[in-house]
Amino acid sequence: MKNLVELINISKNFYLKIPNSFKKKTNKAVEKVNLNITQGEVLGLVGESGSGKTTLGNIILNLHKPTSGQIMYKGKVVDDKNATKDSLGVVFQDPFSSLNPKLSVFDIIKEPIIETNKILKTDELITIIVEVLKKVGLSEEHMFRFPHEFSGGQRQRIAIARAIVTNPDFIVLDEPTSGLDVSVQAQILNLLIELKKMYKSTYLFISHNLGVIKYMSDRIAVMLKGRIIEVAETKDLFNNPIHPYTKKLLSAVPNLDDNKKLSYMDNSIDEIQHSSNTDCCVYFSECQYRDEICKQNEPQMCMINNNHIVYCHKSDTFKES
Amino acid sequence: MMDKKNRIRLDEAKRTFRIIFDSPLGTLGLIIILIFVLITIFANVIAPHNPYEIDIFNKLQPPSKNHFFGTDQAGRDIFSRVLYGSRYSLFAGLIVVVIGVTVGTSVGLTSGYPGNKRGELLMRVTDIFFAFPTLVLAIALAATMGPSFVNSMIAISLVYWPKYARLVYGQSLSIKENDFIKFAETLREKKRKIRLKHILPNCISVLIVQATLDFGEAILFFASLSFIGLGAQPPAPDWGAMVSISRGYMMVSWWMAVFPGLAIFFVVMGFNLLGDSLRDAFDPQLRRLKAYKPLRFSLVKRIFKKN
Amino acid sequence: MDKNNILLQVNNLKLSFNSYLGKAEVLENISFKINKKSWVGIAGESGCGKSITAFSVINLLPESAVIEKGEILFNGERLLDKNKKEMRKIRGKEISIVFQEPRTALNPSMRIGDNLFETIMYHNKTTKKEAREQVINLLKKVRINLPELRIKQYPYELSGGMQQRICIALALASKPALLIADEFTTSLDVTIQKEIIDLLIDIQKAENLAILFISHDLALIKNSCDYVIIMYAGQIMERGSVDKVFNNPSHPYTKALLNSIPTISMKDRILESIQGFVPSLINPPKGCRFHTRCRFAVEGICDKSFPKEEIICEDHQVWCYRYDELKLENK
Repeated sequence: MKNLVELINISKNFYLKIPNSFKKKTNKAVEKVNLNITQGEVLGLVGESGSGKTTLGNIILNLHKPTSGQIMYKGKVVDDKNATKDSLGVVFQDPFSSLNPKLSVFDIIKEPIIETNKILKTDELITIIVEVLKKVGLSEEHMFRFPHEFSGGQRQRIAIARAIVTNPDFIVLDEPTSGLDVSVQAQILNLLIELKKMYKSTYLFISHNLGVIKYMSDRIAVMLKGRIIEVAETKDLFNNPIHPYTKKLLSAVPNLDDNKKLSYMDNSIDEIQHSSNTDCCVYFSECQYRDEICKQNEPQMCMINNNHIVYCHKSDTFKES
Repeated sequence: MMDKKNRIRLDEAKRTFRIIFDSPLGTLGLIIILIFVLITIFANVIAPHNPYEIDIFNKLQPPSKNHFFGTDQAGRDIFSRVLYGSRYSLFAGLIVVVIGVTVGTSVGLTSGYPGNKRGELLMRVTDIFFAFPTLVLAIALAATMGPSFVNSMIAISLVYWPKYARLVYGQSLSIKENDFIKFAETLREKKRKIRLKHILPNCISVLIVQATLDFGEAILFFASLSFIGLGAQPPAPDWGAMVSISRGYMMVSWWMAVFPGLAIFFVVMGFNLLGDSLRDAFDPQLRRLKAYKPLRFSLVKRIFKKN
Repeated sequence: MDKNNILLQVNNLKLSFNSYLGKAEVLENISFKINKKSWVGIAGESGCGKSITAFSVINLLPESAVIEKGEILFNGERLLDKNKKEMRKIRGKEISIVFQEPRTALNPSMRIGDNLFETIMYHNKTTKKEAREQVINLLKKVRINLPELRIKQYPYELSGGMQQRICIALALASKPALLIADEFTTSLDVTIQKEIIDLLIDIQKAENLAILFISHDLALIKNSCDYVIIMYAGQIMERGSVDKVFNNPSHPYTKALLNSIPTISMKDRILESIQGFVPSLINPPKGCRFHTRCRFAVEGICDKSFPKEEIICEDHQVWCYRYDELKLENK
């Protein structure tokens, strides 16, 4: 299994103007991220607001140029010249803003086909689009309607149809079900799983909802304040979370099932200590286990086992549990 | 397949029309404008007299059966002159709006997306044009090129386009935050294509509303320029020029001032009423929340019964 | 049931909107009660009418809303009979509300302190000095650190979680008997949400407060509320104590909904999805509005009229014609 996408030391800084001043504030949205996505897997990217997961998704889609670091796609380095000659698929969060209200469904789905330099006659286009509409559970009669005539769930189906119509190898899904009702969410998630089997594609699934991420992903990466703090296979992450923040996150999710086999400890403390040291661990301010070493140095990558890595100085003490 | 697409587009247009017709004022505005358009086209058929025909023996006659609006100081029939005058006014308004919208939209689109420093610079240049008072510019042009119908239209157009540039610029800024623009960017679509295919269609409704309201305002402006002698020159049957001439005779012959004045009033009001109801029609929020009012005109009801 | 214990009672509420596209039957036959000091949750998907139910209690309805039938009793008084002035006295004082977006609930051009002073002085009729003390106590109650500093700050300087705490403080300022929370943790991160909910649990115990909690997150309702009302397309499908409803879901919709939520403790199974989509409320399906998507719907019965209430036990009621047959399949 080779790596489809490799992120090497990616950092992205945004510069915000401070009002009434010439200075600029640096917002380190993504900081020194190293991540691999193997072909055929679903990698879940989970984090709360401000974690940088959406920015990372945008960088992979070539919407932002990273301040430093490299992206490799299919073994080749991605830069301005050869960016996205192969098509990437993308599904965004908001079904209301991801479709142009003035274009019909036909025009919306036609767009990626035309942009990847395929010149086709109208008849051929219609055949392809009808086929992909059927695959996502819509029908031919929807083809010339406009987005406002559809519900949120149906719009996401249109967005998914648009993402898969060029048979891309890699699809980025940025919170695709966050704006949908629970019953519709289940439909869309099952549809995505089915499509993945059919097209044998690779997904990057970004979400803040841990239940959804658990259902969809093979491997999960947890982000906090722009950094990746833990990456593990799904079962491993939920059975044996190592990083204190991961444990805090899992314990905060309200549980629907009664059998609380898994209980996570919330180990954050009220006494928030800040450190002005830029090399300090990103979770230092709230961590129960913080130490001098956490204040001085950024944590390095520790391998827990073959597919489980964590960035924490104290990972040895947690390993035993 | 294609006619299905067109049928759906037609349904949408019908929906919009229905909202206009639901508002009695909007319908009134539309009717007024239609009347003036018909007058403009068929002036030569409707007018009972030649607007330029001088008849000194019948000068300054009050309204009568032969001359519905009376005659002016040269004996010309004011009713015919008012009818022909509609050609000047509506034509001027049309040219001004067309030039303003075309130039303004191009500038606005270019500076609005992607909206970085270059765009902002273009906007500041636009602001310089915006700062000119129309009248001053018109007087300056008249002084250099000589007062005429064409020059006054050029003057008003030069001052009108920045408004549309600003409008489209503002719209672009908010439209480009949408995810469908992001999607086009991931496909590496050319900027020009994004502007024309994605941003412009979403600006159209605002542009239509603004252009309709401005049509009336442009007519008013043009009449003002003619009033101070910078627009259409006598003996042209332009409403502003007619009001200007009537100044000397107003005390005695009120009809010379009143009828062209009323013409200006009605045409401007028509455009304002239509523009307002168009704005309501295009606003998606109002479309949903407005309490249901049944169609008032039964004829219209029969046409739109399917909806 | 002690009659004096009932704080809010809604009986047979029927509400519709006159919209441009037609008449939308938003609520039909809504009945429930909230006891003093109890926490009632209304759960359902978007468009089910849960927010509208809460807003009709305090009469914050849009112009096009028409209440066709029903009554709302608060402490025995009929709320629907009151005029605007009387409602204004109750709204904000005895019944408070916290909304989803703190950014729009707080006046961005006023400092936090001024936001709070205004409310306290209006409802409690105190001087500014007394109000200041009350404000500081309130901020401490919602666990905001450094309250003296926070009073001078503007809302944009605080994080989302802190802004929501301020909104809770605002709602508690007048010592209400009922607090309505409309999806008020939806815009927050899950770790912040947990802190806020824990805070609310503590406050509820300490203050004798009844809470009407609206959310689409069933897991959240399970971990916070005492009673739950499951709504779908403007009708109540099931109602009862949280234990009974979640351990023994008796309505096909409740069961299907619970099976379609991915949870973190879920064993590997396929998520069940409910086919179809929420019907339009203009010309809604007749009878039980869920019959168009229900696996167990019976033609001729479920689409004729809305089922009568089936009392499973004291704290558990369901509205389904086939409840008796289907309950055996639950285990």
